[in-house]
Amino acid sequence: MKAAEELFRRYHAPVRQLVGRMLRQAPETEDLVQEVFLKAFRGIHGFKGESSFKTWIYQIATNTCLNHLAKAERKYAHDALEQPIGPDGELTLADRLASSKPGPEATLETREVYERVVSAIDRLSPEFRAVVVLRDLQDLSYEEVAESLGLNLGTVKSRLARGRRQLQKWLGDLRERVEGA
Amino acid sequence: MRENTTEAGCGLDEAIAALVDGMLDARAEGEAWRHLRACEPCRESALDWLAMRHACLRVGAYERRLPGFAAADETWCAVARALAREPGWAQASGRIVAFRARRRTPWGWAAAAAVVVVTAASAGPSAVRLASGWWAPAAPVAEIELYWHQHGAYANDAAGGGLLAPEIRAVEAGFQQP
Repeated sequence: MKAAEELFRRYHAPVRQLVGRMLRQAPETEDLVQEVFLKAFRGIHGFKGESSFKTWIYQIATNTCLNHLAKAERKYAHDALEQPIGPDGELTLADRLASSKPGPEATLETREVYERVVSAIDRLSPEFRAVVVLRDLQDLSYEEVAESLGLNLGTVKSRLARGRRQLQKWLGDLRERVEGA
Repeated sequence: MRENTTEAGCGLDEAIAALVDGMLDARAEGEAWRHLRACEPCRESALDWLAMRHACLRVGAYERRLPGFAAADETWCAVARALAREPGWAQASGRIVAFRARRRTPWGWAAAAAVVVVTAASAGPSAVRLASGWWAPAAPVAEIELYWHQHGAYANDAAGGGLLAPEIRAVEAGFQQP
């Protein structure tokens, strides 16, 4: 079980990020993360070792999320930052972000930039969102994105370009902020 | 967004995306740069996308360090509890793990054969029948242990350093070149 735990700890954060972004931080995010790891561990026989464990588990995560989204009747609130979280529901994710201290080197210039970027990504359709999250948030190569999503390279390039074109509409003034940093 | 930024560009969105990602070969990159120097809307798009990628990489790295992402103990406990209820996981430990691996190394085969011979010699045929259970089916946990053993040093996900603002300015300065 130790190896499974090591794999879990190594990949939890990126998988959690992928699932969270795909589900727009819906309350069931952690449940789906759990489901992804259970599927991966139970189905380890299907892992041939031809790809990396990372792209394999990302593929499971993406498929799990897309299936979940397809089944979900309700539409998630766009402004997930304002959804109540915590045991008593007294906090919002925005509150938690403001109070969390991940270390000075990881602190963004402003919380506003973070909120704008994630809410813009949340507005993308799931197909574009998956590509953008894997490439731009997680820095996977084009080949790894293609492998993770079971797409060919051309489709990845096309979706990435179209996703970025959409993001540009919502994050148009980001450049001035970055350059001013 | 600047008003002169095109919606559809010149049909070169994929090339611009690849340029921003550093994924073009030298010839294609040269062509893309020549076009960007001549086409202001595409140039604006490239710079916007570069800034967006920079911000996204930093958001990604930042987000993965948030407490909710790092403190995965509860989720792991839930996963471990669920797995522990399954036979292949509850039993797996020690040499059983080693002998139930499907993709056995040559040394693993040799060790397995040696164990069977020794078992047969010392404990009789019934023990061999028992030992044969080690071969199939392979327990999931054994697969994972083997994978971890073989690929445990696999590089962790890069935090995503990304491009820094000065680099974006440097690229922008490049556009001014004739």
